[in-house]
Amino acid sequence: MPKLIIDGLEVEVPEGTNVLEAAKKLGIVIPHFCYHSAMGAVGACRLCAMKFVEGPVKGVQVSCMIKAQDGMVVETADPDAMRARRMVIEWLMTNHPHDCPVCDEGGMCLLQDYTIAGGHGRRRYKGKKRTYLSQYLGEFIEQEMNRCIQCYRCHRFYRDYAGGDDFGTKKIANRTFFGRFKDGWLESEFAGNLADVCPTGVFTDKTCHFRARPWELETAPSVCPHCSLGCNLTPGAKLRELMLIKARENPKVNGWFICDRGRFGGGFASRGDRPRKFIVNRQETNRDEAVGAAVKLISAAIARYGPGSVALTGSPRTSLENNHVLKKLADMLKAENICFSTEPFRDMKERRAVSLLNAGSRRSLRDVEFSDLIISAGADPVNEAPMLALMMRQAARKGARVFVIDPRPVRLPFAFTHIPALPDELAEKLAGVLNETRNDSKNPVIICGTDIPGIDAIDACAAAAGRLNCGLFYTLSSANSFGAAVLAGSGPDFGAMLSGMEGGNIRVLIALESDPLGRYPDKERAARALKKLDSLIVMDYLPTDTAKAADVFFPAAAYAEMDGIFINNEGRAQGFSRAYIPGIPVNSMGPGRTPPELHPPREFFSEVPGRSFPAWEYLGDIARGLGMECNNLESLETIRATLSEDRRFAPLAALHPESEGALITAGQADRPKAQTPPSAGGKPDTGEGLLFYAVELTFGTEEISAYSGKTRLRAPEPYVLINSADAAGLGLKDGERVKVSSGKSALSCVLKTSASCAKGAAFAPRLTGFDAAALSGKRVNITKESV
Amino acid sequence: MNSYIPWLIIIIKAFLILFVTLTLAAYMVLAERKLLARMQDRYGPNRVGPFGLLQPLADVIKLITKEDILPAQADRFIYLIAPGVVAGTVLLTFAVVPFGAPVKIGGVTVQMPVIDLNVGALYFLAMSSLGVYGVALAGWSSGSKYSLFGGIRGSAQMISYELSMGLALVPVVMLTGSFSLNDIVAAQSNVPFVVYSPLAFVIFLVSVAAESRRIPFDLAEAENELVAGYHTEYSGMRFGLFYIGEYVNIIVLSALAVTFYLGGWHGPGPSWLSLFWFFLKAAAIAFFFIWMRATLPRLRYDQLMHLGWKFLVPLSLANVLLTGFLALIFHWRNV
Amino acid sequence: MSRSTGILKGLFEAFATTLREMFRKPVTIQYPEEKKPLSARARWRIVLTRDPDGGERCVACYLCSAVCPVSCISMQSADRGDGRRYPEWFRINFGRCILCGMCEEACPTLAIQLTPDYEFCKYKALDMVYEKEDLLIDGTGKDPEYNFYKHAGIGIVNPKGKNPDEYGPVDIRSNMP
Repeated sequence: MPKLIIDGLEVEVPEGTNVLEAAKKLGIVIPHFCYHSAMGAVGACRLCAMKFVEGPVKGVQVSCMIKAQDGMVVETADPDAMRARRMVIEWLMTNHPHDCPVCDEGGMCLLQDYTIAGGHGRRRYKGKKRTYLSQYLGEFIEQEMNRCIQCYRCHRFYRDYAGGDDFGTKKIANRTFFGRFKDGWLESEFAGNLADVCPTGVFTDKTCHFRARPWELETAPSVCPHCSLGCNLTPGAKLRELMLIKARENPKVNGWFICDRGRFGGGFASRGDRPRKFIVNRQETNRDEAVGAAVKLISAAIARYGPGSVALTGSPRTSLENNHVLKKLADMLKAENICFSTEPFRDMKERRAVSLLNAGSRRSLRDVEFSDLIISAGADPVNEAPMLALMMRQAARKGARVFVIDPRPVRLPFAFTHIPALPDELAEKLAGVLNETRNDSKNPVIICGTDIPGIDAIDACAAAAGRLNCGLFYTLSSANSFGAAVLAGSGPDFGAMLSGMEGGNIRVLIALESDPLGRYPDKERAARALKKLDSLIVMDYLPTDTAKAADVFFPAAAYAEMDGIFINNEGRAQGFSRAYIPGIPVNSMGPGRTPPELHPPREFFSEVPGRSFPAWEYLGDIARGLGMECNNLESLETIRATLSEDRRFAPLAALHPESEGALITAGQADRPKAQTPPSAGGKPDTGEGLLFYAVELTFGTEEISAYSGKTRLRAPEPYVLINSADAAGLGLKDGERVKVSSGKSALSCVLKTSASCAKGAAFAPRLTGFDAAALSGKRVNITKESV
Repeated sequence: MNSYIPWLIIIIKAFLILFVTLTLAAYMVLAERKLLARMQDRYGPNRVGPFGLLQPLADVIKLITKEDILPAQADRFIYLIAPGVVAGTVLLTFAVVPFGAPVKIGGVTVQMPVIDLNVGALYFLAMSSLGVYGVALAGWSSGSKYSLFGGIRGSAQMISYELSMGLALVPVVMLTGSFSLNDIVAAQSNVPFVVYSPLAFVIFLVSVAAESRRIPFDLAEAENELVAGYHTEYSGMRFGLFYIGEYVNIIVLSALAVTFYLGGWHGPGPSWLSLFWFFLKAAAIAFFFIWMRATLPRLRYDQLMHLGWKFLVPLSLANVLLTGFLALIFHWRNV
Repeated sequence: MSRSTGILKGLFEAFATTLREMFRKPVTIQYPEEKKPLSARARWRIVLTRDPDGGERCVACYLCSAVCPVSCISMQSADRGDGRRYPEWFRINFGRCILCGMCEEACPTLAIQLTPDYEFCKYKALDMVYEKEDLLIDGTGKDPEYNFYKHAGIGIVNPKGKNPDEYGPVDIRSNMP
C-alpha cells in the first residue's frame, strides 16, 4: 500500500493505483480525457499533468501513467503543471471545428468544460484545420470525426472492453481516424456506450439527434425496464418526451455501461399511439368515471358470482408497488385468482428459480466480472440479458474460462467453449463440465437461463451450486420478474385462470400492465377465454392487444414517469424515481395555428394534457370505491411501509434511489411444486420433427422495447435457425423461405443454418407479428415454402 | 299648506347640496391632480375628455365596476359600514354651512344652510369627532396590521387636533355671542373675524388640515410606511367612499373656514353675488390645502403630536385669552 | 437667525417655489403624439435573421433560452434533413421578456437580434407570444456578412474540408501522410 502526498495531503492507495486515481480519492479532480476507470490509462490526451516534486519520478508528468509509489510528493496546482495543462487544451483545440452550437454534446462536453476551465479563450494557431469525412454508423450513433481529440476511449471501449471487431483505429499521428471499414451499423450490442465514453461530440446519441440540450432534460435516477438485470440508468425527458437515456454507475450491477436495448429502448413512452385516455366501453371518459365503472363491474360480479369471479394479473414489468397494491386489492376482495405473469410456463420456472436463490450462492452482475469460471446453462446472454455478456467478457479478459451449454449457437464477444445440448441434456452436461473444471477454480459461477431450460435444469443448477459451492445467477424475463415471482409465491398461474374463464367461473379480469392476448403463448385460447369475460379492466402504458380489447382502460405511467422499485434477477431491489410527469408530449400536440406551422398549441393549460398516473393510484381508487378500508394505499410511503411489513421485503425500508440496492430473498416456503409444465422446456413431445423453441433476441423480442421504433430497426427479419446437418437432411439451404408447421399452426420465415446449433432443435425469435411462441416446445416440420 | 313648505325646502336644499358637493368633490380630485401636476412641472390627467375634464367620471366608473373585496380576516359588518361613517359625517356637516345670502322665493325667505341650528358650531365639532369613528373602525375591522396602525394613528391625531380646532373657534363664538353659523356670518358683515383674531384663523387652518388627514398630516395613510393605512384593504366603491369623504371634507372645511373667519358669503355687490363670493373664498382656502400638499413633506409622528399638544393647544388657549382681553378693552360686540 | 424665523423662512420659500413652478411649462413628453428620439443602440423587439445566402441563421443551440433570465424563449431543435440544425418552432413570450439583450449576446450565429421597435403592446397576453413565423425576418440585420457554417468545420454549407481555414479531408484508406 504505497503512501504519497498530493497537494500536502497524505493518501494511501492500493498497489498499482495511478496517481490520478489517488488524487481523485482525495477529492482533487484533475481534468482528463483518455483515462476511464473501466478502461484504464493510455496517456493519449496528456491532460492530467501534475508536478512530481519528490520521489522516484520528478518533473511534470501525466499522472494517469504513473503508478503511485511510496515517497511521492505531487503538486497538482503547480504553475508548471497548470501551464502544461493549458497548452495541452490549446493544442487539442487546434483542429476542433468550433461547432458547439450544432453539436449534441454541447452542455455535457468534457472538452468544452476543460477548455473553459483551462482558460483557453482565444485561438492563437493560425494554420488550417485537419478534417475528416464522417461515417454512417447506423441509427443509434452519430459520428462527427472533426471533433475528435484522439483520446482512444472509443477504440478501447469498443474493441477491448466490449469485444467488438467492426470498429477501430485507422491511420496514425495527427490523422488518426476512428471508425469502420465502410459505412454501416455498428454491430456490437454495446455500441451506444460510445456516446457516453466519448469526451467530446464525435459519437452522440442519434435517437436524440439535435433534439435536446442536457440542461433542459428532466432526469432522475432510474433502473432499466428492458431485462431482468436492472442496470442503472438516467432517463432524460424534455417537454414530456423521453429523449435521452444515459448509463448510471452502479458498482454492484452494471458498472459504468448499459446495453443498446436499455439505451435506445425508450421510444415506447412517447409513441404516438400510446394509450393516454381513460376509456369505458370504447368511449373516452375521465378518471373518476373510469374508476366508477370499474367499481361497478367488480362489485356486480362479486355480488352475483362471489369473489372467485374476479381474476387479477400483475406484471413482471411493472413496479413492485403496483403489483403489491394489486395483491392487496385481491386480498381485500378475497379473490384467490391472482398471478403476476401471463406466460405460465416461464412464470413457474421463474418462481422456482427465484425460490432457489439464497444469500450464499447468489452473485451480482458485477460479481460475474470477477469469477474465474463461468458455466452458462441454457442461457443466451447477449440476447436474454445483454449486459451479462459484457461482464462475462471482462471475466474472460481477466483469464476466466467460460463454458456455454446451450442448444443455440450462442454468440459472445470473446472466446469460450460452446457445448451444444438440447434442453433436457443441460443438467447432464453441466455436471460433466463441473466435474472437469470445478477443482481448478476459486470463484466459479453458474449462469442459468429460465427461458429454454426446464425446471429440472433450473433445479440442477441450484443443486450443483449448493453442492460444489459455486455462485448462482439466473436470468429472468423482465425487470421485476423477481418481485412478481416472490409476490406470486405458490399461487395459481395464468393457465389456471384461463381455465376459470373458459369454465365461466371468472367473469372479471383486471390486467395490470399485462397483455394476456399478446403474451400468452396460445393466443387463440387466450382470445377465446377472454371473450367469455363479462368485463376486462386494463391498466397499461403500451398499446397492447389487451389494452385495445379493454372494457375499462386506465392509462398507466411507465418507469421513468413514476417512483417505484424493481427487483432484479439477483434479488436486488432498486428504487427508481420519476423523471417527468407523463402526458402528451408538447411536440406531438399538433399545430396551434392553422397549417403548416409546427409549434405546439397556443393555449394555456392548467393541467397536463393526457396525463397518466401510476397504476397503484387507480387500484387504490378502485379499492376505496369498493368501500375497502385502505388508508395504507394512499401514498407510495404508506404502500412501501405495508410492503416492508412482509418479512421478505423488510430490507426495502433502507432503500434509497441512488444506493446500490437492497437484497431480497424469496425464501423456500413459497417455492411452487416442481410440477413439470405441460410443454415448453419440460419433457419434449415425442415424435417426428425438430424440437422448436421460441427465443429472445437483443432487439425486437423484449416486451417493452418491442414498442420502441428505434430498437425495432435492429430486429431481424423473422427466421428459423437449425443445425446445418439437419438442414441438409431436410434438403433445405440457408436463406430459403420455409414453412414451419406443427399441427394446424404454421409460420413462414427465412431459414438460417448453423453448424454449432444443437441437432434436432429449431429456434425462432418471438418477434412482433411473428407468432413463434405458439409453437414453442412442439415438434415441427420444416418444409420449403412453395411460391 | 304652510306647514310642509319648510320641510320641502329643506329636502330640496339637502338634495341640491348633496349633488353639488359630490360633483365638486369629484372635480376637487381633478383640480388637485392638475394643480399638483403643474406644481411638479407635469400636465396631470389630460386624456379623458378635453383637458381631462371627464377624468372624475372615468374614475367613478372604474371604482364602481371594481371588485369589492372583503378580506377573510375582516370584521364583516364594521368593515362594510366604516367608509359610510367617514363619508356620511362629512356630508352631514355641510347641513349647517350658510353659503349665500338668504333669498326670497314667492314670499318665503329661504335661508341658505339646509338647516340653521342654533348650535351650528358645536354640531360641526360633533360631526368631525364622529368622523374619527370611520377611520378607527375601518382600521380595526380590516384585520390587517397596516390598517390597524393607520386607524390608531388617525384617531390619535384627530382627537389631538380637535382640541386646538375647538379652541380656535372660541374667539369666533365669543365675538358673535352665538353658536349659529347664520349669526356668525351676520356678525362679519362689515369686518371678517380674521381681522380680529388672525391667530385663531391660522390655528384653525392647521388643525383642519390635520383633521382632514392631508399632507403634511397624512400619517393615517402614510403610503410609504403603511401601504395605505386604514383603507389598505378597501377596494372598489368602498375605497371610493373614503376618497369622497376626504375631498368633501376639504370642501366643507374650506367652507367653514370662510364662514368662521372670512366673512362667509359677504362681499361687495348685489346679494345674488353672495354665492360667488362664498365660492371664491372657499376655493382660495381649498387651493391653499392643495398648495400645502405640493409643498410640505409629511411630519413624523412625534412631530405631529408635539405640534398639536405642545404648540397649538397652548397657543390657542393664549389666543382665547388675548381675544377676550382685546374684546373687553375695545368693546367688540357681544362680549 | 433664530430657529422660528428659520422655520418661517423655510415655509415661505417652499410655498413660493411650488407656486412659481406652477406657471412653468411642464417637461412631460406627450408620448403617442410626441416621441423621444431613440439612442443608436436602442434594443427592443427581438427578431431572427437570415444569413447572407438567405438560410435561417438560427441553429437552435438553446443558448438564448439558457441565458434568458426570465425563461421567455423556448424552441425545439431538429435536423432539417440535410444535417443542418434548425428550430422546428421558436417561441418568445414578449409578455415576459425584459429586453435585457442577453440572448443577442449569447447567440453564436448572430441569429437573434434586438431591433429598435418598441411599440408592440397587445390587448391579450397570448398575442404577446411570438412564434418563429412572427420573428423570422428576411434580412441579415446587423453583421450582413456572417454565416456560421462558413466558420464551423462540419460541412453543411461548404463541403467538409472546403472552408478557407481547412485542409481537405484525410483519406483514411491511404497510409501516406
